Amino acid sequence: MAELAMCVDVSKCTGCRGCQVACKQWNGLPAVKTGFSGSYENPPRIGGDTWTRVRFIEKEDSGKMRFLFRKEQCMHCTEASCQAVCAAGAIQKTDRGMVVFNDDRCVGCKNCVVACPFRAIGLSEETGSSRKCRFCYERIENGMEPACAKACPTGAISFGDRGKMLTQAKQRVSDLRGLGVNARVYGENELGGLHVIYVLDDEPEIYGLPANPRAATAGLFDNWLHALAGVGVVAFAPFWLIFRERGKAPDKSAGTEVDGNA
Amino acid sequence: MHEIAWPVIIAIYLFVAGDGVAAFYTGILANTFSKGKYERIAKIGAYIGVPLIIMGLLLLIIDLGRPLSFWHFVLGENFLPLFRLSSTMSLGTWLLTAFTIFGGGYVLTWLAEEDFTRGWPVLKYFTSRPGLRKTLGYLALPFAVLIACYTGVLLASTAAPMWNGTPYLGLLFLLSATSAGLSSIILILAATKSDRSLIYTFSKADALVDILELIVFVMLMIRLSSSAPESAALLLNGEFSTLFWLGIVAFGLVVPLVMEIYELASSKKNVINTVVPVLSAVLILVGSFLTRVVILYAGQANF
Repeated sequence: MAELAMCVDVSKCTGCRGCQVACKQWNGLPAVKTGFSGSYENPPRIGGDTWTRVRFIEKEDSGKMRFLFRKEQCMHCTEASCQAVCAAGAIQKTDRGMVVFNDDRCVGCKNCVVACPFRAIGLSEETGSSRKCRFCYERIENGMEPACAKACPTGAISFGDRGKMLTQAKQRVSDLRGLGVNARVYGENELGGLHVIYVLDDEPEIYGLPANPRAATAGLFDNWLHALAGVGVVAFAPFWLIFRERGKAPDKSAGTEVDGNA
Repeated sequence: MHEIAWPVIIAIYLFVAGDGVAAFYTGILANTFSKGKYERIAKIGAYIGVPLIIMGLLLLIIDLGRPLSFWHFVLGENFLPLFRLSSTMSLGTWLLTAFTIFGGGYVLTWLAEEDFTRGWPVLKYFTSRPGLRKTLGYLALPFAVLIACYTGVLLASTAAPMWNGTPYLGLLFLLSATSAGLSSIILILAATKSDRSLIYTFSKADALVDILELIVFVMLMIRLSSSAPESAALLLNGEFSTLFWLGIVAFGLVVPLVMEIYELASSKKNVINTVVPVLSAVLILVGSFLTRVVILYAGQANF
């Protein structure tokens, strides 16, 4: 079956947060108590009970303030770090490109929370498990689009076949470039291809997206290699160098040096 | 306010697990390389190591969002053993399980010989079984060593720039654990009024590991400064700089090393004093714990 994807066009987003509310309502997520964080942005970050939210960015451009918005959620990566690090086998990738958590299997160790390059996962206080956007798969199965896409009043969120979403995103980028906007597509090849494609009108970093996201397990081999080399060094110095005994085994009868201190 | 996914309980776990397994492999390696001269150290190491690992496992379970589901780590949906190669946590779970089984059996062979356990039912199977002890000790050894490394690799297989920005975290945690394990043994030796020359030998070993750890710390900071400068700055001159410079570098590494070198020099004049190795061991243990706390928290601060 063809892979699905969401296309988020930040140039069309007005920051109304309808997507946030729709997500909470459809998924029955509880409200989160938050304080004022110095911005209209609220809640301040994605969590186990907030699976999508609009990020508010203030950026000064040649003396002019720009107010930028980006809807963030799980990116449904092809090389999904959360799925790789999960020890309980609670995370699956579907053949349509979705990364889905099996809540019954999750033990709430939070490894996926710290492994996600997009910080799109959180621990739910309510369930004690890690949770995130699941592309409203029961809606998709029934021929509907995800709740956030349905709620978006400006057409900033669209959903469908990944190939189509990419074509649409590239067309929009070329249109924006024609207007002199520094536009680009994000998500085509990152981490093997994301299933959330962004149309950005500025650098990814401005929007809080890593320019070159890395899978959490990318450095595993190197780390083990260095650690095991260290094992060899430590076994030699100090252990072998200091504790080795030449010749025959010492007499273990009573009165030897060590036993005498027992 | 930063969102902390892995709180201080995980730092305590990383510390006790590293310290515990290091005390264990220190005892076995010292005893093996000395051809049996350090049997008592092997016993001390096992008495430190196995209870600390069991304590560490409990800490891990307590920290889970669903503590009662902890068995999902080892049994899959079909109730068959579950091992996931890409998951460092899965690997760690199996390392800890294997160590607890073999190391636990090894400890029982020692416990069976204690006066206070006379008449305990299960222990009779472990009494006077030198072959069994040796086998269990060597079976547990590789798991102990790998656990010391895995505590660092676990942090490295995440998205936090401070943790995955260098390939040295597993190595650093191995060295820090080894020096903590040696220090724990030194403290037990001092507390049991052991021979000073024995304490001195272990202090010398500790000094060597301390030097290696300092070298790796410098390598790590240099690499981090280029791969994740913001993370490096957090330690070098940011929010965590006081703890880093004073707690870890100065009092956790440099001061104990200077003390150990001083002790080396003075031992030649035959005026060995156990105060110096004991004090340096305490500092190393505190420094080793702070290394975990600072790296764990600073890693999540700019994540």
